[in-house]
Amino acid sequence: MSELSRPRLARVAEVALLPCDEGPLRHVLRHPEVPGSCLRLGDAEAGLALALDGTRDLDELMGATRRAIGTDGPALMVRLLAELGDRGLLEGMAPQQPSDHVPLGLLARLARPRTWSFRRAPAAIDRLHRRGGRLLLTLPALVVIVAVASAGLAATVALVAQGGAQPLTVGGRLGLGALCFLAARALLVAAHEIAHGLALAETGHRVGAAGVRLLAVFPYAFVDTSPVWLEPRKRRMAVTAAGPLSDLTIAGAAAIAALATGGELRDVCFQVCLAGYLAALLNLNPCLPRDGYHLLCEALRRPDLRESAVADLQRRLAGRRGPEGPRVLIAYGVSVVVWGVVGASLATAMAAHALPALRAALPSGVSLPILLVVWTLLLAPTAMLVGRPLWLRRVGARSS
Amino acid sequence: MSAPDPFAVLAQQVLGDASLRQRVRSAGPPAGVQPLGRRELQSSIAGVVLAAGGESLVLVHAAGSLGTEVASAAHHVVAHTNLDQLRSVLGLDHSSSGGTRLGLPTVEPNPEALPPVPVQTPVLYEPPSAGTGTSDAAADLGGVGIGPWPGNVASPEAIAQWMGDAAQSAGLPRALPVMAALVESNLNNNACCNADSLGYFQMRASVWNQYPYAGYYQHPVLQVWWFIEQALTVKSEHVAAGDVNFGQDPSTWGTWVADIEQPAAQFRGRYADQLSAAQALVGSGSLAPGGSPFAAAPTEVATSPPAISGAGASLPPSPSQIGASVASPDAVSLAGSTPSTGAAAGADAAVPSNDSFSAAGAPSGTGAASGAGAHVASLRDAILRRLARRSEGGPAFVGASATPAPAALADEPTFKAR
Repeated sequence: MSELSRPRLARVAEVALLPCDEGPLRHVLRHPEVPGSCLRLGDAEAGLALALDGTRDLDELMGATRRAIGTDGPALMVRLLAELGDRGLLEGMAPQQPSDHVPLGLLARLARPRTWSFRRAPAAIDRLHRRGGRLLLTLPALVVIVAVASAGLAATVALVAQGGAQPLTVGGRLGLGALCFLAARALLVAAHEIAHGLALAETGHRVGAAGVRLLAVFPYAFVDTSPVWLEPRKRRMAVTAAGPLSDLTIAGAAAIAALATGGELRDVCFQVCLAGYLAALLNLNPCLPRDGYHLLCEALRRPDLRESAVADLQRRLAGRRGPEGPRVLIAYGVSVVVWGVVGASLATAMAAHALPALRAALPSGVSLPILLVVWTLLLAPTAMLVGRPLWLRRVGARSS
Repeated sequence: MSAPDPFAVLAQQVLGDASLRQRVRSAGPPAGVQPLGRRELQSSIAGVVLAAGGESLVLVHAAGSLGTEVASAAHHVVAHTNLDQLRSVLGLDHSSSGGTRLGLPTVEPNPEALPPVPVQTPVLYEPPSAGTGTSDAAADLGGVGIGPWPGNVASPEAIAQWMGDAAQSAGLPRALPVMAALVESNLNNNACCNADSLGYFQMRASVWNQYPYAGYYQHPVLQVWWFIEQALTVKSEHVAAGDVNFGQDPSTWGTWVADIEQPAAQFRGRYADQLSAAQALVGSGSLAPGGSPFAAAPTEVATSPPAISGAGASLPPSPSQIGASVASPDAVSLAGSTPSTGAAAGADAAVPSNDSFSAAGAPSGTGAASGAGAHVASLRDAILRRLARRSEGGPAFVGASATPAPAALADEPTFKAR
């Protein structure tokens, strides 16, 4: 109780001051062991937080706050204490997990992500960085990487123009081609995440966690690079860009190899190339919460772009009044919805491409329903995003 | 002593009560505070999983093709294995003295008690007397011989030759199926994907992937058989209409193929363009028109019964009477029949009852018959069932005159132990 009467910041809390071009919220505060504990603070708020050094009791803190900020000071301090406390940033207070106080329905429980972390991955990436991985991040190596990625693009164009190599086909065998493609995707995903980790290690931080997560039926690999919030914008962008750059480099190298070889080896290389460019395209798509989105957030200096845009869009759809947000929020919110529909339709169209094979492999009358289920599943997130506020609007209109 | 600051009291409560903190935070963070979520950099592997799901279908088809190739290889191995020599090498030869049998207790034979028994080598497979000798699913239907599919990786020439031989054995121009396949699939069985069209001739799966052509994609022999049947049907229609010289002029073959493939009107001319390419691929061939490299002569059927033992149906191999009999595990023949497009041709195919073949398509009692035998049996099953259907009143392209009673077939086993 004494710790709470004389609050102080957690001893392990990390504090950073970002350059002036980062905007007014230049102070960063985070607990290294609590995911999602990071806060960016303005000068006044950072001053209040740093005043929590355990030497002042709450009465003294409120008095000092009132003198420094004015009559609004104590209220701000109370809100700040609530924020810091729930994030485990105050000594003696455990972080509050969302699931601790938010009741979950069946749908929410089903949609809750399930995570499998590889405990040794952060240390392994650190070790890899120390034992030579850092050489990949030196200027000469980066020049070579960019050169390979660029030459690979040209090689890919030449390869396609040349003809011969076909997607998912190796030596005229679709099965073998598909296997090669899958193996290449797995390799690329691993390389992609390791690239993020190495870039983060180069900034002096260690990956928070790495593993595989299942969101509904969609699995993805991840690395937690939250420590990079303590770094300036350019470094944050570099850590983010490392992944797609690895995709492009591997794809480029594979394209060059495919151009230089022939026969089945060329076909295998072409599958790697195809998988690499596909991965790069997906990861750079800013409408998905992937690397491209993070880069866009940094470019726009809005780390909460998606949340803000979706909230703004849903507020408008629900017919609620609110502060007029910047146009970029509207544009991004609409883009997310459009991509949701286009992406689902594209994926369904690709699935439909395999319809003859489906029809041949499955009993008659089954393939089309399967296609419909795929399309519905893919469209569900977007439908929820748009449908819920529209439904609320309709309910509100009825009740009024 | 002054009263405590109310905000200090509130702060004390907020720090001690999680629900109160939640209420305070529900209005959102203060203006100068911006929460930053986890910065997780993700790479979706959903694509991998979805691709795996989608491509597993491809793998299924590839497995079908692989099965054909494995079956062909198995036949090749079995056909070219000297089992006597193998037994001798392994010490399993009955006649070898003092041999041990793979660890089993050795029983010294008593020469007086046991009369000498001639060694009987169980022959698992006997290649057709005429043909490649490595045939897998070579189907011979009333003289129409369809050789073993060369496989996905075979050269276009090999595939074209295979089609050409089959067409020629049915009395069709060698180039005819190749012209169709060049346009439809560029001689690629995996050509994809115009609607639900599959295979060399881009047969619609929704139309043709059913009895008796079910699985035609995995078994291109069925595709060729389909093509021949369609070609002969078209020809018979023209002949019946008075065009007795139909098909003799190569310049009309494009139209012939178009009648078979039935493309949109604007695409009907594409087949004729492939005439010279098809002729270059198939060459002149070595078969006499109507001849089949896989057709077993009636005498062969009688003197060389099939090696695989088991129940089945057998047909009297009389030249004057058409009957389906199995000359070897990989050749189904309508002995004595000749391809004919004549409308008068009735099906005299002696057709086994459905019970003669197991649901899996393999004749019961195949015993040591390998997967290749099962494959061939399934193919044979499809073909014979097809003949059965034809014998029940459908148009037949094989010359036949009467339909025997199935009961007459059930008594005679098709597959006899040697």
